[in-house]
Amino acid sequence: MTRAPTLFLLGGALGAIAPGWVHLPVLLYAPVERSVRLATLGAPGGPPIEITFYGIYLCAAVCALVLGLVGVLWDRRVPGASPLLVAWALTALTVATAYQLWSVWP
Amino acid sequence: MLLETHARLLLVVHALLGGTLVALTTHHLVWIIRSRGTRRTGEPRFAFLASLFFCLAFALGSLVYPTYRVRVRAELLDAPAAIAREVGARVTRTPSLSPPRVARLFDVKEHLVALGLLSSLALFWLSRRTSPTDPDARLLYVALGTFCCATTWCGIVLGLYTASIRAVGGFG
Repeated sequence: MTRAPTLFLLGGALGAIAPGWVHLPVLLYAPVERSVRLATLGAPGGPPIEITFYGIYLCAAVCALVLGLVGVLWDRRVPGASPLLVAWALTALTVATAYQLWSVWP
Repeated sequence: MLLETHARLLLVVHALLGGTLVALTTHHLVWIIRSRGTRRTGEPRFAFLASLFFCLAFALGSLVYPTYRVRVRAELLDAPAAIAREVGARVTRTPSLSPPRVARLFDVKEHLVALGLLSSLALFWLSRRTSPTDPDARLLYVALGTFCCATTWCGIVLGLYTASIRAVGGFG
């Protein structure tokens, strides 16, 4: 019964690093112009004014929800625990944290 | 700019929510660790409250963020001319991090709390399906509880540090 939250976590962690790592295009918000455009991330930390943060975590939220839904369906079909999946999810969270810190560390 | 006129009020409420969140996640972690034989009756409620306050604090922070990005980061922390004026206006110099490094430190906070929110929601979902006493879920429970607690502490410390850098810290 823990696959859904575990896959939700795994999806969110991978979704958070996907835009930077594999250069997926994300939404960039320009606060002064109040406009949004789709682009790949540039230098670590992003451009000085355009906000990349919303786009990155929108991608993470979508990935988390998709994999969470997969987990719900998996739990319904095959009830039980998957300890290996927990290990993968915690590893993904550790990697995502390390990657994001590495990208923006002062 | 989006909600710039209400930015200070939003920031104060964001800080209050952050303080409450630190208390909630810390309390929740203690209850997770103490739930060995039997589950603490209030533990699922704390999982719910922690994720609710995480969502609220994150949403408010995101609303204030465009103002920070332009008025604080672009016009002060990342602007050498503004830093030089600020340093020149001070009577004495206080040793501290350079403004661009403070801006990067704030980036660290942003990413940590976003991953903390994700963990908090996963923990809330987990609390509806199982308990910390379940041997199959305990590792995930403790790991997520610890991560959520650590990210909220980092968030409030780094947030207050950045907010106070000009007022009481000064630029080195």
